[in-house]
Amino acid sequence: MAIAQQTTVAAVRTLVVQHLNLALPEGRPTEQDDLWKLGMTSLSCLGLMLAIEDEFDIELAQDALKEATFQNLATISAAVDAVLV
Amino acid sequence: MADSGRPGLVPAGAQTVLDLIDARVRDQPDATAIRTPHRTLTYAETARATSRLADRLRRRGVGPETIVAVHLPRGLDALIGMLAVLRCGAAFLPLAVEDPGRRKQEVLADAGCLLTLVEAPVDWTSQVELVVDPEPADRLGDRGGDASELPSPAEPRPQELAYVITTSGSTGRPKVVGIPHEGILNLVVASILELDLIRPDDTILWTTTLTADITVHDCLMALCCGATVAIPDRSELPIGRIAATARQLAASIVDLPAAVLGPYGRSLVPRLAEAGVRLLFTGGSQLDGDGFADHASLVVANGYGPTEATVAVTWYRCTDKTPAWVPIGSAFRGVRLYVLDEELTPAPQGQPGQLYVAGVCLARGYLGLPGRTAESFVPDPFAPTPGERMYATGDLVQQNEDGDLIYRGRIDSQVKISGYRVELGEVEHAVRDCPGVVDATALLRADAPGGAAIIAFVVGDSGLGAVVGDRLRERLPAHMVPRHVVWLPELPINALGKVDRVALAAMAIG
Repeated sequence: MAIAQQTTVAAVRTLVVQHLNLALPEGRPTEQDDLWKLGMTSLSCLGLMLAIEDEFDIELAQDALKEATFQNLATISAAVDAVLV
Repeated sequence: MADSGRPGLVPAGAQTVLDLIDARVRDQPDATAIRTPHRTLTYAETARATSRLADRLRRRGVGPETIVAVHLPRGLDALIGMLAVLRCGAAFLPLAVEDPGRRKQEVLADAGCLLTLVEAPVDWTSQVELVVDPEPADRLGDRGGDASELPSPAEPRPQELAYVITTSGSTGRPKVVGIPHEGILNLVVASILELDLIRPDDTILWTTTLTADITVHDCLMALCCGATVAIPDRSELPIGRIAATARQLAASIVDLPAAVLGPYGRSLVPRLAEAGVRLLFTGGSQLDGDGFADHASLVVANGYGPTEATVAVTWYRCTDKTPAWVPIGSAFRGVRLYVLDEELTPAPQGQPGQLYVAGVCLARGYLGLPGRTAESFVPDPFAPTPGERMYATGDLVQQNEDGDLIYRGRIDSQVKISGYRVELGEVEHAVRDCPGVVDATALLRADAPGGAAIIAFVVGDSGLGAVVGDRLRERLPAHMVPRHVVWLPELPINALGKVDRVALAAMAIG
């Protein structure tokens, strides 16, 4: 799967851009851009979470399912990597 | 019907849902009525807790045709609160704790509320409050009572109000809809006996907000049937945890808005099926059901109904033959549906028309708004008994060859956002009321950054943008506050001289 060859952050960025209707320049959002401030709602966050679980074929940890985990690309990637490792 | 014992769930001569709940308390006092992550309450314990609070309410003058606001988060206290108000013969009004105080005050005044049930004293109202039992845990657990401890029912009449509930109003103020007992009883009985939406061995997960009328249906239907209401922890139920929560509380039925199930059903349905959920209720907006039928162990039931006709007036059970654009189904007992053109003539089979609803399901009307009530609840020319009313839903539908209705959209500017019904006119009123704003139009944009959102296009002093944002958050519930405000030198006008919503729908945001 193509996604496996990318870094986690790059793969997460692709999903974020796709699920949050973001029209941003290449390389954005950055790892630290606040997704909630970019307009993410609890509903679009749900879609993002499900897409991440499906795409990486993982189940995010129960305690990871909170607002802070979905703050930015770095926090999401950390949660994904925590399951993958 | 497969379960031949089920008709016995509805005693002959039952007048209200209280009669059905009393029958369950008598027949199965030790069965689990309510389950939280930390405790369970039997039917007998639930009845005693309800009775204690009802006694306190009665001492404060609560009785038939009075209204008590339930200003509590989703939880055990809120459920007992609603039951206790009903037990007094009064009507409950669910209020969202998180809503702005000013809006809550308006609603209390419009509804003519006598008392507000609160967790702790609040500062946004000078009205009379009653703090719910601060230590219910110590006293709810006591056992050993018998049927003689049952509260003597207040026996409200079928035409008296059971609950009142707010809905967005296009003129800038929420409307307060009053629903009589006969409407909610009819719905609950239909759900149990005709629609097979719940069985005594089911556990329904309470996922919806207190102010959504589907909460009334889900909780009362369960308690009238002898089933269990499962209440997730008080902290906000993150929708992402719904499958884990369903598993934790052994839920067999879950309710999710179509706004969630449509886009994410393909991923959510298998997770819920695996968690042991057998039935998924949905509704509230047009449902895209592509891919749902692949999980035979879980059935999706799509309901439709305006608040003004007691929660739901149609149900449709998805099968492997269900088209991707899921029908809303057909009427059940006590409900009459008409698809009519502008002359109130029945639309030909297969042609779209406005849906009108009549029958025992109809609300009394909008409290304190006789003019708006008369506009929406009009004489029913097809009624078996002359003089009855029908409600103009504003929804366009058409009937397919199977007799099921297909939803086709709105005839006005009402939209649904995350399952909430919003009159864009109410949002526009609030925006125009802000300092520095000359004119404003609001739109729902599915392509907004971050996901579908209400966008306000505003003419005025953009330097006051922060003030406008603050003011809107003070006036509107969170789901109605525009997520983006686009300041324009002027609103685009079309050839007819009206605000060009098509141009605004294509305009860049943010």
